[in-house]
Amino acid sequence: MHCSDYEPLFSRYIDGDLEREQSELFRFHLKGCPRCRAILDDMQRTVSAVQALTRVTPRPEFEEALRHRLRQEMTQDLYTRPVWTRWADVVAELSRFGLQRPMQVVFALSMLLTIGIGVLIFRNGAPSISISRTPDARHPVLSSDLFAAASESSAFSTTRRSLGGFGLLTRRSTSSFAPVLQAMDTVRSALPVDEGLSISDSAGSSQTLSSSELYWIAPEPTGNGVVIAETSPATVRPRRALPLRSPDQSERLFDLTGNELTGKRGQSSESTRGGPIFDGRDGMMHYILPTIPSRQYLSRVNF
Amino acid sequence: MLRSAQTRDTTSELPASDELLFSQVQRGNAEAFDLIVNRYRSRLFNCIFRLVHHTECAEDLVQETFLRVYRFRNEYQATTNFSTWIYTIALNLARSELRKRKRRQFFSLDTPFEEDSGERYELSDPTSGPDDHLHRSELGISIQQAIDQLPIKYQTVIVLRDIEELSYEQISDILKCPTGTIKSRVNRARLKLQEKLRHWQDAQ
Repeated sequence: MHCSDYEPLFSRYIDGDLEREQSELFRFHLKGCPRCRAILDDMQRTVSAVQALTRVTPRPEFEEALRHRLRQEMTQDLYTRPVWTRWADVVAELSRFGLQRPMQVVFALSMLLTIGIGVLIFRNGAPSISISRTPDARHPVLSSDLFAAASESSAFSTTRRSLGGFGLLTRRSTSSFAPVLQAMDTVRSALPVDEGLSISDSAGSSQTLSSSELYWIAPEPTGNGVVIAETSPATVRPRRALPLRSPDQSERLFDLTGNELTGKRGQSSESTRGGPIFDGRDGMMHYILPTIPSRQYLSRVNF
Repeated sequence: MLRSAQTRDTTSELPASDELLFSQVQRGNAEAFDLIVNRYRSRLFNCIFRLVHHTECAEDLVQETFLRVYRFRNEYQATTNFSTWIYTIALNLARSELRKRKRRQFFSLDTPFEEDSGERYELSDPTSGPDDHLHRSELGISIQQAIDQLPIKYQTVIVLRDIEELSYEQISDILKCPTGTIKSRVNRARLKLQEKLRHWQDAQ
């Protein structure tokens, strides 16, 4: 056998993967071949050096951001599944937690009891938001007494629309928008700048959003569009400001006062043409905000 | 059809193996999914980071991996190794990212590349610790650079074999290649890597 016959075996010899007879033949060859010995020693050093590379770990803030995002996903999944599967979950949940977790039980029951019935949620004196389900609607509908007031305003008109399992208030939203938000989040387009809106998610955590945390995706500052809310944070360094627009300009990002937002273009095949960041993996879209020294993902919008 | 309800509190009695744990996830046990995430978060990050060599990108890909694990949880069957399944998802995402970069020719190892949008892919140092000499040292940086310069298929097997220390059979399952192919690919990858490092050493 020649050296070229042994070269394919170097790795396996180092890894102890050769049969006993093969291994003995290989060792015999090495005794008489300084070239192969040198290559083998070199490979051993290389493997050792690679194995000695420090294990890298994610940044400390990543764990919390990951948990938050996964919780969003799990909660969203709960609300987009057919009702009968939720029945099964309710039963399983009740049996597993019993009375030890009454709030989850109450929540699960309320989901079923709201069919055809409105449920009022009061949070620290914030405007009341109701959730109801009509027989012909597939998903819960969110409404508020403030919506009616807003619709009387000459600045815009509002419609309530429920898609994807979440109530989403839009300004005559078009069918091209499919909202994806945390379950139980409520979003309004007519929120005074200094007024907060309390929301809660299915995990029982609640937070208060101001109008500065709500955003508007639309071709123009008024007219058709979709309101979305800020979600989980991540961290990057701020970048050069660029208009956050989709390539065809049909989607621009505004705050609720009508100011267009700018941010960085990120890892996207559309980056050379500008626009919001399409991550392309499954049609999800991220917007990057420059207002803080970190990158924040807005609610993802499915297409 | 109603699933049979759990009649006992399983939080303190969760099974140890990934496969049994994930079967709990498939039944809707959120705590089981938390445990899965805890088990694999750092491992996947290390693996993906060594391929894409960008902290934020690696974090994004780890997040996307877990999202897909959850979304497609009912597609997993316990006849296959759970570790194989999650690594397959992670590797596919990482390799897609690498292919995307190579197509756009973003990556420059000699100087940090600044894309027109200002994105920088530079050699980052996400860890700090008493034993990270081989990460911060010139050799450590050169090893990473040399790995980055390998073709994607060689990068992948080097990371899986020598960094993640997976067996040839596991790598074969993950990459859906015959074991013999994996063995020869590891051999060629190591030979290429040592050749690159030899050039670096000669230059020192």
